[in-house]
Amino acid sequence: MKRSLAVESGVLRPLSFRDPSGFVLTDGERIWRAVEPAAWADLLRFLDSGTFRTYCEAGKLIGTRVIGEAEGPSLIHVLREEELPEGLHLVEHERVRFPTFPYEWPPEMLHAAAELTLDLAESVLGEGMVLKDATPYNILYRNCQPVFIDLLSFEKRDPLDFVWRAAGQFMRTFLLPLLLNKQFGIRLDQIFISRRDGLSPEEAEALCGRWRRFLPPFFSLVWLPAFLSQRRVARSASLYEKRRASSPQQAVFILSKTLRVLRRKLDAVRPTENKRSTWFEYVRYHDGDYTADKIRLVANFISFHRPRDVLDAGCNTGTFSLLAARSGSQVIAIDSDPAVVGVVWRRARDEDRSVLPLVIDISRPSPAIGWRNRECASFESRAHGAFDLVMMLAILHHMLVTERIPLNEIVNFAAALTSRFAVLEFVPPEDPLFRQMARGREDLFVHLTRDSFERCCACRFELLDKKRLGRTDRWLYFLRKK
Amino acid sequence: MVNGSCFLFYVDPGSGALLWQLLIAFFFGAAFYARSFWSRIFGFRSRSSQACEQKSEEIRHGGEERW
Repeated sequence: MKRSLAVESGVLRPLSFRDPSGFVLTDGERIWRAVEPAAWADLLRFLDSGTFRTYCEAGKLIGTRVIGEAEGPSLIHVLREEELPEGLHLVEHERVRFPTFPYEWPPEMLHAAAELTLDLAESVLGEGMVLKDATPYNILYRNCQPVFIDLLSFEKRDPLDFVWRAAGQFMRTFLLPLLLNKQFGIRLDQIFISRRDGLSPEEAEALCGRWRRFLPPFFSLVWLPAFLSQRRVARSASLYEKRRASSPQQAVFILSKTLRVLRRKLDAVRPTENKRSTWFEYVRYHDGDYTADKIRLVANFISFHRPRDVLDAGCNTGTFSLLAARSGSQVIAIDSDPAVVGVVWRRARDEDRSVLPLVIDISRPSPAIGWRNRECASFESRAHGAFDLVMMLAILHHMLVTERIPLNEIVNFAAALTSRFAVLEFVPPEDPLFRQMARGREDLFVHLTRDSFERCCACRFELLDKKRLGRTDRWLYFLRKK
Repeated sequence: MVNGSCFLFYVDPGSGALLWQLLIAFFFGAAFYARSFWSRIFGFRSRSSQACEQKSEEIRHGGEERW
């Protein structure tokens, strides 16, 4: 901790500090990992392994290069000035465009991250190594694909050790959140925003009721570990002593079977496809001309201006996100409903499109959390000015009515997120869905007209074009940031 | 501890989860002996057990020079 606080005062910013093997640093542009001498041999061994080559080529491991003596000194000099200990080694990692955290993922993405974690744990077993931690924070997403980033998680294995010590963390951070999400609909943000290390079996058991805890998969994932943790043996220090198998073959046999058991548990908590949601097929409430016009107009705008980075706020099932991605844009698609974001993830994965779908409510975006609010950056700090185009389609009335956010605040936020364009859909108070949401509070919105909307937008944007959508009173505004 | 590197293992293994894993290990440890006994008597090895033993051998040979 002392080390990371020292770095913080200088040019470099620390991004991690828990693992004694090393820590990550950034200057805002590039990402380095400083590695303790004791862990350097393990890292080199992993970088030289077949697992690293295979998974790196498949894009499932972060691209990494060792900083050589020729380019090292200047960077090491900076580190020295920050009073860092002698002998640190450095590697540079490829930068992932938009870092995300488990509380922003739909369950499908957490499940895919868990599969990758088990794949790697199994793969390195055959190379004399072990995965020493199993947390979703080891994984970022490059579009729809999980990428394992923490290369210091791979450690040389004692050939006789038959215990995978990361299994408990794998259960707390992957299996139990997925189980409770699947069975009780508990959202991942409810779990991960307040708990860094997931859910303990004891916490999960309290939610299970009297009888359900004895049914599979609750019995083995929740009741049994919770029951065992109450035994006297669980309080004994000897429990944590290293145990040894009688032969390396037996140790590998037990470890591979343990991983297989965990994979079966993971299959049992696979998120349900086609989960019902209020927001599914939301666009079908409207007439056909409305949808066709909207798709045509947005497609024309994107193909003309060719934005590189697009934010689709309120993406629903991803119609416009995929439309932008098919035109070559890199899209971040956000929605508050995990079910629809899961659909976007599956669609984008199946089409192999550059879409990163996230469960983020634009009205309550992810906060900065972790130690001193510095471990996981807020959504706004990551997204500020990060997009060429921000689309807010059929979402303004939700923000105005349900969340009671003033129109000028919404326009200012759109201007903060985009560096060039915004496409906003204006929904008037006379719109049936607007009235349905207002629930008798229409008087609050008497001032909201197309004129007042245009005046508000004019403070931050130049109007490029506006088009009416079908036979509705909704209008699409194409804006350029001033 | 292997060459001093395992002190870098820093994750809470959990007490219940560790006991849960030891139960599994006990079961599969016994299964490993039963399988060895079975194959010694009948000279028979299933494909999966062959693959597992091959993996163990690879680790042993690959690892001996490093460990």
